[in-house]
Amino acid sequence: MPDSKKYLRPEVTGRIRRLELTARRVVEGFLSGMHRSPYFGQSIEFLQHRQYTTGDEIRHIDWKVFARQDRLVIKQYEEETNLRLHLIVDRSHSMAYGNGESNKFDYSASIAASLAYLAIRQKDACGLFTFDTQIRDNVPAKSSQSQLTRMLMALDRVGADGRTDLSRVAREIAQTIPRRGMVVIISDLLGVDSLIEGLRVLRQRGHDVALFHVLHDDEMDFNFDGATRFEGLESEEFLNCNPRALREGYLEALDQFLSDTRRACGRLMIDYMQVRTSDPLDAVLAKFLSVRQSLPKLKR
Amino acid sequence: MFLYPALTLGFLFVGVPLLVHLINMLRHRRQQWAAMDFLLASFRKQKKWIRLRQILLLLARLAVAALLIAMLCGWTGGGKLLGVLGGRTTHHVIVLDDSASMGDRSVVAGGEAESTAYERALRAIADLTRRLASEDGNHQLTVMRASRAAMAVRGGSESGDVAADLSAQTITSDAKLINRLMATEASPIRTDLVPAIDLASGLLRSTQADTQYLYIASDFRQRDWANPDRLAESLRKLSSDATQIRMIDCAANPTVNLAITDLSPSPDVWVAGVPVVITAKIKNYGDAAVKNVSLSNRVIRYPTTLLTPDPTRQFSGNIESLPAILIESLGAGEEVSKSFQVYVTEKGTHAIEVSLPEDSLAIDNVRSCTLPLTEAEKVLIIDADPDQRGFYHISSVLNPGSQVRIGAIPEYQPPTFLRGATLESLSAYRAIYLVDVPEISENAADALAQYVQRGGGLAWFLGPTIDRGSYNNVLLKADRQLLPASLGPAEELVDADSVTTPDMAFGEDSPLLEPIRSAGDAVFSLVGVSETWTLLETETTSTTQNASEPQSMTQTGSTEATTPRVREVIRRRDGKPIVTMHESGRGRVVTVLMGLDGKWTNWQGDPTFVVFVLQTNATLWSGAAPPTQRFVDDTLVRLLPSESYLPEATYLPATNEAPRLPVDYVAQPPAGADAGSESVDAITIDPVELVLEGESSIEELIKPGISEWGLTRMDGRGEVVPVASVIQVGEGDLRRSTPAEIQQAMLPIDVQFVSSSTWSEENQTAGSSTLTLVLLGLLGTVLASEQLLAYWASYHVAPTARGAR
Repeated sequence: MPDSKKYLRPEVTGRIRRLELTARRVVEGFLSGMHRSPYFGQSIEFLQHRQYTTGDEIRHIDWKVFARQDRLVIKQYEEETNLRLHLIVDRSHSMAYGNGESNKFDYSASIAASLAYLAIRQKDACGLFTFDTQIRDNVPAKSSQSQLTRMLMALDRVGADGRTDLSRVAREIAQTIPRRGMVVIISDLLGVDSLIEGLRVLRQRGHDVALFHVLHDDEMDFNFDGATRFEGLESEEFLNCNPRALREGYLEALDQFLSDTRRACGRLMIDYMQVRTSDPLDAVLAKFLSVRQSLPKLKR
Repeated sequence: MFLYPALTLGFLFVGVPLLVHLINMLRHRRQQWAAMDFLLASFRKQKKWIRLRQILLLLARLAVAALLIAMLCGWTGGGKLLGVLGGRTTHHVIVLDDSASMGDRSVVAGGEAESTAYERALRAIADLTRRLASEDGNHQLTVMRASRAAMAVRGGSESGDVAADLSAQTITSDAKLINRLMATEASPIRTDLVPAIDLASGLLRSTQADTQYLYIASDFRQRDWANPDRLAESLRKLSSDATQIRMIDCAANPTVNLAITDLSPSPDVWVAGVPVVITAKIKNYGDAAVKNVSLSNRVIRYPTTLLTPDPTRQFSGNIESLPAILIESLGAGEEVSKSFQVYVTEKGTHAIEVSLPEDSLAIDNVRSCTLPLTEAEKVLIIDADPDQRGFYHISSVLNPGSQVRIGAIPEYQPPTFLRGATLESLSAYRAIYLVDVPEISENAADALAQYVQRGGGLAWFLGPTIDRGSYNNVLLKADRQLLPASLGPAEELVDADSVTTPDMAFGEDSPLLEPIRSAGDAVFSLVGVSETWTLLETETTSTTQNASEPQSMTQTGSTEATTPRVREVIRRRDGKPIVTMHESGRGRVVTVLMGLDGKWTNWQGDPTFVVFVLQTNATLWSGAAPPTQRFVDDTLVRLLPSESYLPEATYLPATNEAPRLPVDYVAQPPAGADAGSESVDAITIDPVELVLEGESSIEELIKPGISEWGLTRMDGRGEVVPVASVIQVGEGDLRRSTPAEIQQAMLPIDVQFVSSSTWSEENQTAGSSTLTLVLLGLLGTVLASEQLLAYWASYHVAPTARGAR
């Protein structure tokens, strides 16, 4: 049995379980749930009128409109459906940076486990992908209680290793997921060459995509002193330098990268969440969920 | 370049920052890193600047290390190189007063108790040299000691280079430049600074320099500076050349100083076995009376058995201390004479030394003289009286018989002896008495004149029987100077029977009757004089000559005087002379204008006649006596007759402590000696010549005290002869002129005074502090630059919310 406390921290899940994980976009689902479905059903929430065509059931005709306007329209209702949540966790070598709770992969796994717990608790289906240059592990989305255990086992089984190829992985995942749902990518995006392309593939498939950009404090602040030999985690490159001399340029390059990423996510209507491994996980998730709840529900 | 060259090894420390830099390049902390792209991008962007900053930082740290070591090594600046390449040249001329008074140990306020004024002057020069060595520009140094300058000028030299210890020497940090000067002492010579300043003026005019300084390091005694007209004249020449003049006052206000101003044996026969009275004069130069001063004296005997000098002892002779003499009281400025008897039974030259207790000035506390003793010598008495009454009266005084020993052996000769008299025949006698000799032949007069010129003593007793015309013609002819003046006719003494006033009276200058002079003319109350010869055109003088003044100080010293100075010893009641004394050449002539035949006077039977004959005999003898002392800067001549001595000798200069360094000399025939003349070689040591020749041993040769000659006789036996060298009188007067007085006298020349202690302080801080301040400023600037560069190169930790890794 996996140690559920390793990634699913009780203090985290306790504080966020009051919050509902809601999909900002319409997702498809098998179960009637709290999430609006693109499939018109029998829910009480009116969606739109449509011109009657042959074959439509007569019971869906809105007779009040016929009485006022003398034309036949069909009354359509939005159906509440189950969320299908896919968690995509980067397990490349760069995610191994950091010790203890500040380890980026551990922190990312905690985010993934917390979201999975939340989804399953509200009867939504949840699946997991881990990847580096390719998909390394795949837990298909289900809403059973044992799903959480499977996902935790999968997270515990893998360790950070290899390089990152998000573009290729995104394409594979897009083909793997049969129905639209919510895709949450948790990665440091380091060593990713074609991030935009990968995200675009997922968006084109109609997924609601959220991106947790996990970075370590060292990567954000670069507060190193003394002569240091920096050796690449995902490459053979190295650099002997006085880190303070390079800090300014490093931070500039990092800021540029972060702003480019944020701008690209905005363009693709992807929720972007920049996270430091030193940030309290509950606060991060609470913020993510509250932001998603406050955003207007968009129709695809 | 560096005051402490040994510390320049510390410049290896400059390599340390480089090593640290290289080691740090090899010692990197390893850090696994994910965001290499951003890091490499930053590095590619700033690569050039980073390297530039690192190089600048490294250079700054090297400069800090180099500056620190330069300060520790006492870097004296690189201005000298610039100076050599055409920078400013400054000529510093120091006139160093090294007269004997510079040995004054009076204490300067805050100064060292054991320092002499001369040592303070040397320190001032050393401090100046040290400062100039560390200053920029080309500095030349000339140091001229006053004593050397005075001797050079006396020797006819007008070149400052000859007299200068250092002549326009470029000052370097090498202390050897003044080492020789620092080893010198105040000279025993009395001199003022005029010759030195004159020579220094010549040097300053002859050397090219952008700036010229003249420093006068002196004790500024009143005797030299109270009326410095001649000094001012010399300095004015310099002043017109825009030379800056600074006076370095090295002396302190004087304290007590007693000086022995004279020590000499009283003029006498100086015969072995006859006691000799030695007279010492002591003067108090202080401004307060002193009491109970002990005068130590001792005799250094040189027996004939002493064959070779002993360099391991201060004196080769046997030292015999005599009882000390106590001076009960001596007022300020007073001088007192103290006499003591010395009794030596062995013939030969002995030495006497007296000394005072230590006071401010040591050099005048000791004085010495020699005492040349001979065996008893013959005196010739030529008496024309067939009864030999004259001979009787004189010889009974000079050779009274019994145990009394006068030292003279009277020998009677008739007047015919003079017919064949020659210098050689007369030279056998130490004195000649001519009693009532009627006539003197030309030949005899010639022999007598030569005899006197060479130091012989001659006494005339001119009775009624002499031929006045013959005497006047012969004895005064051709500057023979055997009479004080032409003889006039005999004159009777008017009122010869007077009982109230004696017929004879003391003359105004009566050295021959000094022992009884204090009794007054009454001592002659029993002497009757009826008639005497008179002198025509007598140029008797009443000028008092200091009877105790040292006689001729040089062995060769003889002055030609066309008119002898005649001293009136005894005169008649009417004032006309009876006894006169004058000098001719080295000899002395006593003339008694009456005979001993009893016709004109009964003096020969009076006790005063005994005193007169004894004193006259002593005076006549001392004319040929060798000198008993010489001044330290006089030429020292040692005659070595070839029939008696080998022409080589060893000289042991005077010293205060053994051992002594013997110097061997070879005698040379005196310059200008005739080929046919008596063969006498001579060793001449002339300090002036030694200075002109640049001889370094002159300091040893001019020391006062008792030096010794080691001679070798022809029979192979050795002989040791002492020589007493003394200092000139007057250096003991330590009274000083004030700077204000000198500045007033020097107007319009602007002279600045500074005390030696102030001068040393100025020099110890001036030069070094300027450069040190510059170096400190530079170091501070470089350190600040290093910090800025380090900050620029991001080696400083910037405060951040999260701690740096």
